[in-house]
Formats: sequence, C-alpha cells, structure tokens
Amino acid sequence: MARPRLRAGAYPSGVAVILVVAAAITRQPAIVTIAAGALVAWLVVEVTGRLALAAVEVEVSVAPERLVAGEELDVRIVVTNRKPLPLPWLDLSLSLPDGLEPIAGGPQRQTVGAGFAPRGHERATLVFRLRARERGAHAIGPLRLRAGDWLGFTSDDRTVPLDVSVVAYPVPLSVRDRRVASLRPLAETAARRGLIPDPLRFRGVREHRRGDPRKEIHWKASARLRSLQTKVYEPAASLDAIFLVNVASYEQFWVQADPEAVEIVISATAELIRMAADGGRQVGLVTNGLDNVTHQRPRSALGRGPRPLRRSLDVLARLGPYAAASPEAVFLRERGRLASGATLVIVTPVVPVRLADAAIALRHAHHRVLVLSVAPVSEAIEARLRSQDVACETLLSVQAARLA
Amino acid sequence: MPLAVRDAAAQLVAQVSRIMVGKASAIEQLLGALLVDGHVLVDDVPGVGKTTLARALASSLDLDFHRVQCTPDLVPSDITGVSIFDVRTQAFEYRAGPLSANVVLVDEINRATPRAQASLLEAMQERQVTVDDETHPLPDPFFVIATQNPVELEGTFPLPEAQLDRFLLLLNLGYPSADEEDAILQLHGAANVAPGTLKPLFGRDALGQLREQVRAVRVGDAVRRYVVDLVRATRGLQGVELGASPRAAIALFRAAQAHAAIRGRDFVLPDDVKSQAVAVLRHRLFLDSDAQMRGRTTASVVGEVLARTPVPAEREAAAS
Amino acid sequence: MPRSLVALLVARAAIEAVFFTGFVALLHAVSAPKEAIGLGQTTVLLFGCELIAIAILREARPENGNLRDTHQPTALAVVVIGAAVIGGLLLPWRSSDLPVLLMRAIGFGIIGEVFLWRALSLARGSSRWSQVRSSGTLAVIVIAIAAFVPFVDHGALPFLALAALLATGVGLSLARSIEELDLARAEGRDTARGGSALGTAFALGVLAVVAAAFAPSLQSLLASTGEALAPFLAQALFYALLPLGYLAAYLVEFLRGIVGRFPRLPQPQPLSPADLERDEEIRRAMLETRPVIVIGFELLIAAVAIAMAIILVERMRRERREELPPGASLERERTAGMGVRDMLAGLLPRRAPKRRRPADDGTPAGAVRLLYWRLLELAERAGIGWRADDETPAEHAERMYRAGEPWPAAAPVVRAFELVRYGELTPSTAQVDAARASVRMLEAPKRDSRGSEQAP
Repeated sequence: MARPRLRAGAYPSGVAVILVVAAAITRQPAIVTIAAGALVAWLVVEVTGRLALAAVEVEVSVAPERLVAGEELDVRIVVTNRKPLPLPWLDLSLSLPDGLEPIAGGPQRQTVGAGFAPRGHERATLVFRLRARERGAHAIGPLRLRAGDWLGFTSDDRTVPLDVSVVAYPVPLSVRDRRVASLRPLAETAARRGLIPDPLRFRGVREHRRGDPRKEIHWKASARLRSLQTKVYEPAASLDAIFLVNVASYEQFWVQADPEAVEIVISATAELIRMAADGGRQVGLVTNGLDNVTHQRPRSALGRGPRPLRRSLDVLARLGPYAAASPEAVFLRERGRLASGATLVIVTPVVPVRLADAAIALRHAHHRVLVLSVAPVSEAIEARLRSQDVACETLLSVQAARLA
Repeated sequence: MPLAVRDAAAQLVAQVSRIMVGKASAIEQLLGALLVDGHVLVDDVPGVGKTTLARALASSLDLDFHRVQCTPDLVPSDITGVSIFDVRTQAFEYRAGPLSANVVLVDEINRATPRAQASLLEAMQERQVTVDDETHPLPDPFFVIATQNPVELEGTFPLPEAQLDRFLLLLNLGYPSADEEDAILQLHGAANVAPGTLKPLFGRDALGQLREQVRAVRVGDAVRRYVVDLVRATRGLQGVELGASPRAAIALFRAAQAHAAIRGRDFVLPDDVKSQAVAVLRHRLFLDSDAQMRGRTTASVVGEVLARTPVPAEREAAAS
Repeated sequence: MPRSLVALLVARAAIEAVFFTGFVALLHAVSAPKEAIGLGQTTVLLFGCELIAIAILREARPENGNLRDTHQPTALAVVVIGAAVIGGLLLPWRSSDLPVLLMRAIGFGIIGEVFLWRALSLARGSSRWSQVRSSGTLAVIVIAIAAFVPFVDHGALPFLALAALLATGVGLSLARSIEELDLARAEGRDTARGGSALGTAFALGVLAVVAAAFAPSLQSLLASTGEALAPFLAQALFYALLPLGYLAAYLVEFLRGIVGRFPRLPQPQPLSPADLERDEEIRRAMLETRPVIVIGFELLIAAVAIAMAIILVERMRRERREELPPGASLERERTAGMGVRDMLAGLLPRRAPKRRRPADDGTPAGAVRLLYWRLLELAERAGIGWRADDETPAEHAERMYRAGEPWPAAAPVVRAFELVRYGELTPSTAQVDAARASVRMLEAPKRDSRGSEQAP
C-alpha cells in the first residue's frame, strides 16, 4: 500500500545539546538534572514519534456496496494498533465524494473525522452512516491518519489510498415522480410473441409433408401411428429484452438540452430492466452515453440472472448525460449483433425523425421494437411508427409536469 | 524405439504448417490437449483458420473428423444422435450423431441453446451419450474443439461458468502478421492444399503411447506446489468475482505435463506452468462489473498473478 | 469538566509553582537576604495556592458560563497581592534600608499579581500545547539561573527541576491530545458549575498549603523517612546520572580540543587547587547542613515527580477519550500484535533480508545447489541481478545470456539445477563437473585480471 508520510514539528534538540554542554561545564546538579531530563524527553519524542504510525493498519469497507440513490450505507473503519505502544491521540479524516454525505450532517460534508487514543494491541472499529445523494459510482477516500509522539512535539501524517466504491443505482421512476403511471404494462408490452417456432416448446405432431426436415420427424409417434409424423412447436415467446438507451436530448447529439429528461430515461430503464429480469428474461443494454469513470461507451451483454442484471444497473448508475454518438448510428450498428427474436426497447428523452427511422429499420430486421419517450412524440412520427408496427409510448408529459 | 512426444510434435507442426502459416504454438497446444484427454475452446473472429486447423490435425493423426454448426434451433438429439424407427425391422435403430468422431469441431457453440450446450458438454465429460436409456460410448480418443465469437460480439447463449470450466484451454488464434498473411496467400495461390490431403503421420497405437509418455512426465513437489499457489492466488483478488476452481489446478497440472513432454523433458519446469497458465486459467476467472468496465481482462489478471507468485527455486532449496 | 482538563490544570499548577518558587528565590537572593529560603516548602505552598486560586476563579465566572469572560475578583486580587508583599517582607532579610524595603514590597507585589494573572489564565481553560511548553521552559530557565545565584537553596534545585520536567511532560502530553481530540471545545460548552474533579483539585490545594504551613512537624517526619531512604535513593541517583557524567566528561574534552585550535579564544583553564578546595568546602558545608541528600520537602517533591511519571505512563495505557462524528459508534477490543523487541527493531533501518546459502551436504545434488547459488552471486556482482521472485531459473538465465559473453557458458549450471530442483533427480558426475567448470570459467575473468596486473 503506498503510504505518503509527512512529519511535522521537531524537538528542539539543539537546546538539549546546549544544556548537556552547560551541564558538563558547570557541573551544577540542577543543570545536570535539566540536561538529563531534556535528553530523556528527546529520546521519548524520537522513539514514540517514529513509532506513532508504525504497525497501525487500517481497513475501510462499506455495506452495502450497491444501493439505490437516496438510501443509506454503513462505513466501517477498522484501525488496528499492532504494537504494544499506546498512542495519546490518533486523528482520522475520510474524504467523501460529492455523491455521498454524512447522515447527521455537520459543517463539513465532504470529510468525516474522528479521533481517539488507541491502546497498545488494540483494534478499534468505527462505524458511521452515509447517504447516497445521487446515482453514480462514488469512490470513497483517501483516508488521512495523524498521530504524534507522547509529548506532542511532532506529528506523523499518513495518507492511505482506498479502493472502496459505492454504486448508487438510479431512483425508481415511481419514487422519482409519483405522477408517472406504472411501467409494468409497458414491460409486458415489450415481450410479445416472436416470429419463429421455438424448438423448446413442443406442441404436438402432424402428418409429415414433403419438404419437412427429417430431423423434425417424431419417430415414436410415427411408430405408434405407423406413418411419419412431424413435430410442431409453439412460436417463440421472446425471452430477450435489449434496452437501447439514448442520452441525447436534442437532435444534435452533442447538445445536452435536458439533463432532467436524461435522468428520467435512466430511472425508467433501470425499473424496466429490473422488471424484465424479475420475469426471468434475458436482459442486455446498449447506449450512446459515456461511463462517468472510464469515459468509454459501456454495454451489458445479454444474459439472465443476477450478474447481467447487476452489470446493466451498474452501467446505468455510472452513465453520464453526454452522448458519444447519435442514437440511430449506435443502434443501427448493433443490428447484426442483436439476438434474433429479441425485443428492443428504445428509451429516449425525445424521438427525432432519424431515431424513428432507425426504430423502423430494426423492426424490419425481425425484432419487436418499443419506443419509450419522455417528451411527447409528434403525431406524424407516432403515426408513422405505428403504421410500421413499432409500439410507441410516452413516459410523462414534461410540459404538463412543469405547468402543474 | 517408441516415438517421443517431442518428435511427434515437431512432425505435426511441420506438416500442418504446410497449410497453416504461423500457428506452431496453437498446433502444439492442441496436440498437448489431445494427449491429456482435454478439450479446447477457441475464442476468435471468423476466418482465422479454426476449421482448417481442426481438419488438418485430424488428418495428420489419422482421426475421424466431424463438424457441428450450432444454431438456435439445434436440439440435443442433433448432437447426441437419435433412435429411428425402421419400418422393415419394426424396431428402433440408433443413428449416431456428429459426436461419433475422434475430433469434433463445434462451431459457434454460444449460438446453441443452453439445452443443446448441456448435452454436448455432458458428452464431453462422460465420453458417452445416452439416448432412450441406452448408453453409447464415444470413440477414443475423443477431442472436442469448440469455437465461439469473442465477447464483444454478443452471442445468444454465452456458456455459463460451470460449462467453461470443462475446457482445458482457451485459445486465441489471432490474426496473422503481415508476413504470415502474405505467406498464406502464396500458399493458396499456387496449389490449394486442402487439410484432407494431409497424410497421417502415425497411427492410433503410436498416439496411445504418446499419451502414456505424457502421463509419465514427473511433476516434482516444488512445481506441484507452484501450481497450487497460482490457482489459489486467483481467488480473492481485487476485481475478481470468481477465481479458479480445483479443476483448474488439475487442468494446469496436465497442460504443464504435455508442454514439458513436447519440449522433450520427462519432468515439468515452472516455465511449463507459466507458459500454459493464461490459456488454462483465463476462461475460469470472472471479473466484477467495475473491473470489466475499467477494461481489465482475465488474461491481464492471470499475468498479475504470475508476477506476484514467487517461483520456487534456490531460496526454498537452501531452506530445505 | 473533563478529568483530563483537570489533570492538565494540576500539571500546569505544578509548573507554575516551580516557576514562581524560582522567581521568589531569585528576588529574595538579590534583596539582602539573611539566609536561603526552603524551596521545597515554598513550592508546595505555591502549588496549593495556585490550585485554590484556580478553583475560586472558576467558581467566580459569569452567569453566561463562558470561561473567557472570567475576571479577577477584586477581593482575591487584594488578598493575593497583599499576602505576597507581606510574605516577601517576612522572609529573613538583613537590612532595613528603604530602597531594599521598597524593592521587596514592589517586587513581591508584582510576583503576586503575575501569580494571580497566571492563575486566571489557567482558570479560563488555557490548554494549548504551546502555552505548556512556554511555561515549562520558563520554569527550567529560572531554575537554571537560580543554580548560579548565592543564597539560593541549591540542594533543592535538582528536585524542583525534576518536578518541573515531569509536570511539563504530563502537561505537554495532555495538552496535545486535548487539542487534537478537540476536547476543549466540549469543555467550553460545559456550563455546569463545580464538578467533583475540580473539587478534588481544590482539596489538594488546601492540603498542600496546610502541609507547607505545618512544615516543621512534617519536615521531621519526612526527615526520618528520608534518612531511611537516603542511601538507596542516593545510589539510584548516582547511577542515573553516571552516564551523563561520562558524557559530560567526553564533551568537555571534545570542546577543549576544539577551543585549543583557536589560540585567540580564552582557553578553559583546568580547575586550580584553590578552586578544588573551594568546591570541597562548599560540598562539606552542604553535607553538614543537609546530612542526607534527600530530606524534607525534597522527598515530597521527588515523590510527586515520580507519581507524575507514573501518571503519564498509566494515562497512555488507559486513555479512553474519543471524538466521533454524530451518530457514529466505536468498539474496541484486544488484538494480537508484535512484541516490544520487534517494535523497537522497526526503528532501525531495514536491512535487506539475508540470503541463506545452501549447506554443502556432500551429495551431487547439494553441490549443484551450491554452484547455482554461486552463479547467482556472480550475476548479482556483475550487475545482472539476482533471480527475481517471479522469475524461473531459465528466465533469469535468458537475462544473463543477453548480457553477452561469457554468460552463455552458465547453461550447464542452470540445466543441472533444474534437474535437481524440479526433476528431483540426482545429477551425474559429468553434469556436476560441467556445472563446476562453467562456474570456474565465469569466475575466471576476475582471476585473469588480477593475474595480468601481476604479469611482467
């Protein structure tokens, strides 16, 4: 662990030397006593000062590491003094990122401080609560330790870099704005029947016809009925939902006109992904936004289970409001890679014409497409989308909300 | 005098290199996996020669070859075989599936449904298939080379962790260098050498002896301990959600034996372990979201583990 | 009031008592004294008065509870100054001259006012580390000056110095931890009057004053105790100061050597027989009037000083003060750790871990291990470096080969070592000989160069 250390203060050793010389010259018992005391003090300051932060171990952890914005978490700092020497005082100062704040408040919201006097061979565990004020990946630290010698002449300062972070997921839309109708009907709309027979969903048999693949012959039924029978399957119900998240709130994607709408998009997507995952569906995510930490365009591969869900939610938590490219360019580039039969849910602040064209193109590539917009969609665009069998819904009327 | 593994490997590389340029290391690793009864997963983009390599290997070793192209509508019976009702005999007759070969290339395994994947992986593990309560053993040797598209191009059904662990090695053939690509064009311009035209280098008996030689390669206490230390070091690393399993330790042990035999040694060096560590371990580690988003790869994590784990050498020898 | 603040007050009171004792002794010594005053008794008296004054002043603070608004009650000021003047005039002094009288009255009056002002400062809760350091420094300076002034009880000065040093040590430690753990802020908010700790300090003060007042009877009691303890304490003090004596002697010789190089400087003269005789005379006089080194109030002061040292150490062990963010909890538990020896070893510069050469067990395998070790030593000396922890012998050998001739000759050694270490096989005689020859060849360039120097 890298430990930048600073030593402040010093013992006036020059004075001690002068006293020793004076004692040697004068041989006065009082001066000798003072000189001896100065030397002993020097020794105490040196030894206890140099050993102050030696063998002091620190561990910082948070629980939970993932939560929804607005929720609280516990920070645990364990300080272990592994040497027999006690410390008269130890000062801790933990830096907090912008997105986290202490529960109890205080004059300084970006650091949390504590002080106590560790004994020798003692472990002290400090626990306090923070609140995740906003979504994102919040890195906690560094932690600053200060301690000094027994007589207070010097202090040692050590900065401990930490690798502790908290991911705050977006606030659920219904919590964010109670006027928004439940998203459940939209989630159900997103999963419709597919277009291809699902070989896992056997329905029955029928008479074999010329051209039926030999591998579809049901041999046991054929043996029983004494004529060749072909298997029949249910059409595939799409179990895949891929969310295409657009963070550009304006036709020119590099202009960020409405960050609040982008936050609504992110919250809505998080809620829909959770619903889809709870329904046993595979979920994946593609976006034209950038990750706040890596500044790369993140994606979450299609998958089922807690890990893909967590990855998708992590992507949303860390998504910034700035777009790296236009949504139609990004989504159409994905066309060849999207799982066949998957339902695509485009969640967007606005629906410009080009994005509508992209949605139609994706529909023609044999995907079910649902467009969810924060802002109302123009009648012409909505009509065009519906005519091409692309579902379109509005999350909430921004203007109506602002007027209310 | 029995054929030595080193000589066999040299002959195989020389022969296959006639139709595949620049893949000597991959050829040796495939041979090594075959000799220790392991299977290989090749993670690569299309068009780098996966099918050609598999066919060439089968032809050179006088082994039967089948290819399975995975699609979303693949059912288990397409892999394991099916019992067909014969009207003449009024009885069901087992028709073997594509697994009834010594070398089976399973292309784009991540496009098959989980059920189809499971039936294949079970067959790989058990070396037999069960159809209608009848068990049919698979040929010996039985060697599966599965391919998948890299993670950046999403597959429909990525292999779950427990299934990935069944593959001894994860190889990445990669694009050839400019000179190699030029040599490929020269090779395919003048005379199109097909893998099927390669003559077998040695028979099945010789292959059996080679496998015995590999099994007999000695692994000393220090090297065995080194394997354990490496595998254990992958667990609990920052950013690693799931470390390598004990099966990974066995795989690394065997792969190191094969590598030592191919190098002409009858004992394993730490160098053999290090050279196989990435191929054996990187598909058995799983990174958490943060590590993935920061661009860490499992290969880089294995590299970190190798750098951090001390190699047993003169100090321990002095202490013992 | 937190106990730690009261403890700091007591320590500071002790420092102030020593300081003012020294001041009183100096003023008395320069204003026609008849004989020296008992410094131990004076210290105890002033210590008690300081504590009493602090307690009274804290009780007299205004209704708003803010200590910073505390003022000197007029009555107390009159009493203290008056007592100081009267005390100064009652001390044994020779002359009745008006100038000397005025000097004493004014001087002791000033001492009284300064004493009260210092007590007020302490009562206001001054707990800064820099203040403790300053007052401790002043106290030892005054004692140091007093050591050279006649008509001062020189025998008591070492004990006063000891008391001042230890009280300063305790005070510094307390003040620093109070500052860092911000207890002063908590104390400033405390509006409760009195408090058991302050009451204890008041009682201690009264006890000290009474003890000083009844000095003669206490003196004889302490004297008999001192007689019994004297030989042991004298021996202990002798041994404690002996290293310092040697150090002092070396320093004196060292300084004499330096000063001797500059002939223009006044050269320190060795003590003349007359000086030695005078020293002896003073020492005999001291012994006659003070038959034992430790008697009377000096014993009390020494006991208090030792108690303060014990308090300092014990306080470190039992420190329990905390400053936590709102809503936080702190749990403490014992844990395993290093011993005192390991802890002190950490003060020394870290040495590179010593590599242990393998033992020569007489077997071919042992010989190969030794040869490989020797190869690594040669590589390290040549700048190639020892084998890194994550490097295999083959990888390290590659590094050696890249360094050029003659390092490729090391191959037999590496191969033999790999056979022994990893193959767990016994090397043949030929392999061992080949390895030995390789090492000799690698060592040879050194021998050749030495030989060529000798060549004609």
